Amino acid sequence: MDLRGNDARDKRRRRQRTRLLRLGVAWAIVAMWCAGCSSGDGETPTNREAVPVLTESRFGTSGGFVDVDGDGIEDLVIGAPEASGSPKKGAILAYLGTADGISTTAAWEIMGEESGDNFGFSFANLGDVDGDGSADFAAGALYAAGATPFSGNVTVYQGGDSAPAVLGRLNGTQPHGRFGYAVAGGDLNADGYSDVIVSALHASGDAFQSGIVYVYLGGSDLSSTPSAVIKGDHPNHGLGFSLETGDINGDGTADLFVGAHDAVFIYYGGTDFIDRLGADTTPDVTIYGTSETGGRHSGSGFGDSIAFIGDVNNDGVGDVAIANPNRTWPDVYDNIGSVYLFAGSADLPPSFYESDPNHRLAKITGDAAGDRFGSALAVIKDVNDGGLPDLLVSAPWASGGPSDSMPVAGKVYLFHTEAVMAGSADNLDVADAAGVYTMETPFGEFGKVLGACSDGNFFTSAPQSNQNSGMAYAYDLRAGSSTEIGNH
Amino acid sequence: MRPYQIAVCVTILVVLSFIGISTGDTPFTPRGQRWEPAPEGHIIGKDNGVLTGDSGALADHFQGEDCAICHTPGGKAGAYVFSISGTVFKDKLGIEPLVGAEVIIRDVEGKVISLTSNEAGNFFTYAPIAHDPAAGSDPDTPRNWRYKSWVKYGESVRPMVTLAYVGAMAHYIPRMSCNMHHGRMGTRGTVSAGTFDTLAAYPDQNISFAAHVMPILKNRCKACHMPAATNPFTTYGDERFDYSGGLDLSAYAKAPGSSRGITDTINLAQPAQSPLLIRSLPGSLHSGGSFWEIGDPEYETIRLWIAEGASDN
Repeated sequence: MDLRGNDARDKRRRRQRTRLLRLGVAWAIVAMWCAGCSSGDGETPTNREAVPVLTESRFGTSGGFVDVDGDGIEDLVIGAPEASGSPKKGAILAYLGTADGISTTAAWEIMGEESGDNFGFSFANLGDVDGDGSADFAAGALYAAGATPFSGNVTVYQGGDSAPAVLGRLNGTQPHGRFGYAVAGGDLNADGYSDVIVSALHASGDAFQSGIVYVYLGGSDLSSTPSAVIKGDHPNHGLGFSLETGDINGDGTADLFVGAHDAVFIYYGGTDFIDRLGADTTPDVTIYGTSETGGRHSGSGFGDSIAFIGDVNNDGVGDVAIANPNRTWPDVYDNIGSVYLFAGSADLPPSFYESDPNHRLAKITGDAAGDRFGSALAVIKDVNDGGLPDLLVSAPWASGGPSDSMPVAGKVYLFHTEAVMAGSADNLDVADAAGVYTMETPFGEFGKVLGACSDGNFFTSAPQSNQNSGMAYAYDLRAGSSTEIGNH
Repeated sequence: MRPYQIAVCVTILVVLSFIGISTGDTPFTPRGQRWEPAPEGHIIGKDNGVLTGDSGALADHFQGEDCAICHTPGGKAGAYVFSISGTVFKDKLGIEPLVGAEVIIRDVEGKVISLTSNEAGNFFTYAPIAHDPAAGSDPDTPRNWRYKSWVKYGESVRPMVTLAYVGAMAHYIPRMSCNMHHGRMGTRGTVSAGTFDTLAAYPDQNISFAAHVMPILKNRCKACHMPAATNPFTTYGDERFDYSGGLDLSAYAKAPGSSRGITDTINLAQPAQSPLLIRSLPGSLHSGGSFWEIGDPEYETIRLWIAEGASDN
């Protein structure tokens, strides 16, 4: 839908032409692009389907790395939920990784099916769901017809082939339930197959619009019936706002993290995972945000983004980063945002607050009011050879450009985790970042999504840039280069 | 005007006179203004805000986002502090913005503020809003500003039921944005107007509650008629007022604590006389306004579902 005059839009586009800045990355190491994702122009597209119209598509609303074609090099898939063939069908587009970098031309596109589906609102690299040795992936269509109109659906695709086959279609059941708001993968029942976790943010579980999280077990045949269902228990809980997996208790099996407004619920994985959840969906551990309502304040953003970071305190057990990009309740309504690192352990208590010094390793605070620091998190390979994986944190509403003159341009901060762990645990802020990335487009929301590649590179996006057309950016940190993707 | 509309209007006037509520001089309370029509004095777009310079091109950004995160004193857009702002969509999910919707606001002193949604569905104004001495003595504290609002598109007028104050957290930062609660991802659903069909097509028989009726109810009714535990009580007024009326339309079976469910709103013997249908006709005594006229696709779909037995199918 073209709501604006072409002349005015073109003028605005010229004025808002995107240029990237990279600031203060003194550690950049010139290196060859090894097996893995990179930035730079790539190969000729293949397997192209009907081409979606990407103008005003919010390209970059979702995305991530996954080896879609089986060449051993991770590729970049970007979601554009408002891409049109008819309005807002949505699409996902694959940009292949090559030895020379990420191609800037899509190798293939998959379109949504119906007008208004918003296909590509969410995306996830699931890991190997079907056991064929290749990572699979999924895309959510937030408003598509599932079992009922507007209930949403998620399509799971088989990775490792130039023409991705559909492994399964998972359907929401409740109109307006927003099934597919978040999607994640992980082997929760230790059977060797990655499982698929999907949230329906506004579905009514045990209370009105409490949110529901569904777990579908991986295997040679992906069942469209969930094997476990976790229901929110009070209204507008936001259960499933974010999803993550990782081994937080050190037992060797991935655990499930479910973000809700002002709380993160952790369910321990294991061979009895499904049986345990079938009997009782009480989480094994709850981390509450600091609020007077004990993790039930809908205005708090604690848990809105979660990233399993691995063992950063050298105790042999993995740790987790959790962000609160919204208000600092109950003190002020500032939306500065904070990120917290919590220690994993085999002996975590049933619940604790984010302020508990027995569990909190560090707190990093954003820069300015309204920045929404922590809106997205990504764990990136140890790019400075400091011995620990590093952490990317976005603040998509931060001012950027020259002298931060452009509002809501957005920023991405790189933190070297060993420096974070060595610092003053509760007084870290953006000044402790090792690198800052931004763009010269106001209101672009640069940093809306973050995705890391296994070799230490990452991508981010600015879905609001170019009058909601959106852009994505792939960074090769070792080469010190970046590439724009989606210049439509 | 159709005969039934005349009859409904006459009924409204009689009832209002009987219970002591006039349409021109009501106390500024939730109960007193449940069925109040949009005020006179509305002039389309007379209070539309303007952004100047480079910012002028940005009036169409961030549809459905909470405007006041930035448009607040000291905020990133502190040079453009709106008194009221938001986005109007065609539907509760916020799939498609609505251009040219009229947003009508009447403050506690009776001043009418008139806005129209722009090409992105956004609306905003700098027009001052009167404060309510009953709320507080300081006229400059936004928390004391009071208003009631309506959204109009074509012949469809839809009141926003709550008598709102400006700035839920105004003791910290003065701010107001309808999208705080009515954004695309808002739990209350977006600000929506018009009578656009919820579904692309409707069958003429074998109506399914889950596939056909429930999406309509979610789009039209759920913002108010939710379970008892989440009734949208007003946050202002001389009483806590339950806008759901105890009626839960969020599922076929009413939730525990709700006094009525959908089966209490239907007339199997005379489907067209079902309160579920007639309460949302133009001119009815319904705080949420009108959603359809007789013969509209959604009206007919629900009527057929009732005629076929109103089952949970």
